[in-house]
Amino acid sequence: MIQQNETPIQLNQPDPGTLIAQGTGGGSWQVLSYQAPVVAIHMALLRTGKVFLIGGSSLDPNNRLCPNCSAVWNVNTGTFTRPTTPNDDAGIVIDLFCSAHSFRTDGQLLVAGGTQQYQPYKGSSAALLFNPSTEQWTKLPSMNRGRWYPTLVTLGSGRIFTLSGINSQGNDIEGNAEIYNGSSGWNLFSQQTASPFPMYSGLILMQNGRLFYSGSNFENQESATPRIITIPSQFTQPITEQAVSGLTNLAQRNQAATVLLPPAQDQRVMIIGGGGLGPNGDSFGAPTTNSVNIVDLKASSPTYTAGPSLNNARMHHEAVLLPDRTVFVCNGTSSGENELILPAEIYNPATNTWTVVATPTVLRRYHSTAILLPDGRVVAAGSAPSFGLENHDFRLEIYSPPYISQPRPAIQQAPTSVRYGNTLTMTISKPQGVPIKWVSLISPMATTHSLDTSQRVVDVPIASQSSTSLTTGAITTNRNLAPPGYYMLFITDNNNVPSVARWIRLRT
Amino acid sequence: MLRRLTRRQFGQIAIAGSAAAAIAALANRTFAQPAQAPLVLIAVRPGNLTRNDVTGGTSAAPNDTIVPDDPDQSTAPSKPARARTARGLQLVSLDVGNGQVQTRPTPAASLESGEEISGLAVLTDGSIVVAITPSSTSDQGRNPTRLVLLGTPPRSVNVRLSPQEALDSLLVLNDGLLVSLVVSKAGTPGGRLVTVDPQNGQISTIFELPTDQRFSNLAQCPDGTIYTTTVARDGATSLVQLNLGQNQVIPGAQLRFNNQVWNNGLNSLVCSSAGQLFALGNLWHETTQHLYLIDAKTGNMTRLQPSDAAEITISRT
Repeated sequence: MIQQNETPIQLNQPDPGTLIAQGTGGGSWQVLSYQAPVVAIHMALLRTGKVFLIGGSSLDPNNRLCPNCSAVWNVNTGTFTRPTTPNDDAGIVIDLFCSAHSFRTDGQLLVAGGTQQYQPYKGSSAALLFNPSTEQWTKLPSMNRGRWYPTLVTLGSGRIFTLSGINSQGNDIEGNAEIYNGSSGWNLFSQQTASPFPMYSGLILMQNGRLFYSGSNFENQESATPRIITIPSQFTQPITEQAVSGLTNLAQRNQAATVLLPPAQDQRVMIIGGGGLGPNGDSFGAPTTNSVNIVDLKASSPTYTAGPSLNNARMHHEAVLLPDRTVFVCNGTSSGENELILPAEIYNPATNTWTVVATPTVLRRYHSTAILLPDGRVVAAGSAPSFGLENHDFRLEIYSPPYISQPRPAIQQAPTSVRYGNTLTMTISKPQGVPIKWVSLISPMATTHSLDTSQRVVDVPIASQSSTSLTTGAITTNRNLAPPGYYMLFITDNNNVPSVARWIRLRT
Repeated sequence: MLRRLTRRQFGQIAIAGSAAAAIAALANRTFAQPAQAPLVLIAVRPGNLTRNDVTGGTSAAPNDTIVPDDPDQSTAPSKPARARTARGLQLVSLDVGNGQVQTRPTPAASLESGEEISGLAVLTDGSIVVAITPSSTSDQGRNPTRLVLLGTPPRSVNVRLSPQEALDSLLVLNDGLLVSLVVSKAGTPGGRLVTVDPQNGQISTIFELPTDQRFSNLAQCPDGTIYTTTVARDGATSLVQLNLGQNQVIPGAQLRFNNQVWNNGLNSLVCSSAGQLFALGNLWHETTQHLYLIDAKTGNMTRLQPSDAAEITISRT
């Protein structure tokens, strides 16, 4: 357990006290001068460009009844608002600590599950909707089952699928999945899944409408077998599974990161790092792996193959898709909850290599998060490795990739919504006339415990461009490839420098 | 080597040799007479789905090209008028000594979605009573807690508690009184020990618990000692004795398993006629619950067998 006055060790950085940590050509980190009012155990980017932080009771039973332990952060002004969390049906404040979340098509964030009580942990069945416009919560009908550490994923229909999590009895993993639809609430699948799914299962929506479970999990290696899930057309029918083999280090994917590699059209999933279990059977002191595996979900029999390894083994980390179509990894520890600050790394699919970049100042361990901001930077927050608010980290640190300091293309004007199959025409500017290489729709992140089920970079073809305008080809009509909702629209030039994003809504 | 996550270990209680020896050794150490009498536990858990009201159309087909039925929501869907799902209850008898499991007749009682089994006891007349508490986060969170007497037909009585309160554990004292802990559904500190009239659900407070500790579980041994458990902020769990006559809470041993502090409370606690403590629980990073034998003097726990029972009690037959 680290005390706030201890100095963690930075790998490759002899002076951990600097405000701005520079890497060798690898961007830079900056600790902000102010702190978050809640520990960012859950973090999401709202379509307003503000960042939503959820702590809930934040690994502190004494904080179980906290009435306002979420915060909306205006990154531009450095200010926070604290919405009041609704009470449950019995009049007790709902605790969203250890919940899961996914965006609805209208950009509201559905948050479900969490903590009914501590020790034994009992899963909450509460479900809430957070409105970015009003910055207020709406209470939804509860799930049919309580879930602590579940997974939520938005389907191509806009409905939200959930499975797993510790049940409301506190004695087992919940075996029945559910789906939320906006007109009637939650419907339960009558049959349990054929085999258990671990807590915080890493699920990805495939372009064929099926779900891929990557093998990433929370401390449940015994049920961490990768598989493809087919959701039936009737709730009384079974959810079928197809095993996916080839994943190495199966026993060390505890809090590994899972990403759909850019662009989403390639349907390649990467699982990154992870840990085993420590001597006490939990993550503390757990051995970690630097291994990376990749699976091509378009193959007739998808099988994991080895990818390039991380430079530093880690768990509890975050993988963020950047608008230059690389994968940025930060946070985490090399052995569960140790005090070594690891440098961030970036994976480039084009070269299939990892590059070490700048090392942050702040140690981010269990319960830390990181998300992409619309301007292309990444914010890292949170860290709550042990019980008690006094042991948590409320500092915010922002990573600026190298492209931030480069001349950047800009979207001067673009539509705020587009329908499937339609084209986009936007007014742009290009520094030194560098052509635009990519147009990307990047979904906003909503992450916790190294898990984000919606993060993807959808390629939009370019039909034509001039020095001041760009017209795309038809946007995909496949709602499973690009679920309806809000995206960040980026253009990226031939120097791999992206613009600042514009928000756009993809709709039917 | 991977551990197996197994659901439905409900009735599989073949005791391993070393664990059986531990049970015997502990019995010999605790009381003068050896543990010759068979120890049979009754266990209860949620059963199979008996009702599932599906509304709003089907789930997504695998290759989803249908028009979504999910328009933008300016208002949330209404709370359902009643719980959408229900499950039965399953009961078994578990002979701890030889591992034999016997399925008991399925009670004609059910759990609505959002309800949890929070207590189990066998009354002096041999009838079984189950405490069922609505989870506060369910849509029916303010429905009353109820006692279900599993006779033919089963009979349900409501217990007068506030919506924020739950019955935690049921215990028939040596003098035949049925008692329970009333605690917060949020698991926050405090609570009280109450007598419960299983015929009409009336409760009466007999002991106020300290407001700075989290209490759960109840068991009474043949020598009259009443045990409960407390949980510290970090999950460290300890046995505590309740001295009703002197209105005292007497700290006891901290629970330990494999030389580490037990960190996740217990789901159920019982004391056999030989004075042995048995408990259901799982370390907080484990999802497979087990049955444990507890040495009341040292707090050491011996793992016996996986079990996904919600509650256990001692059989009177």
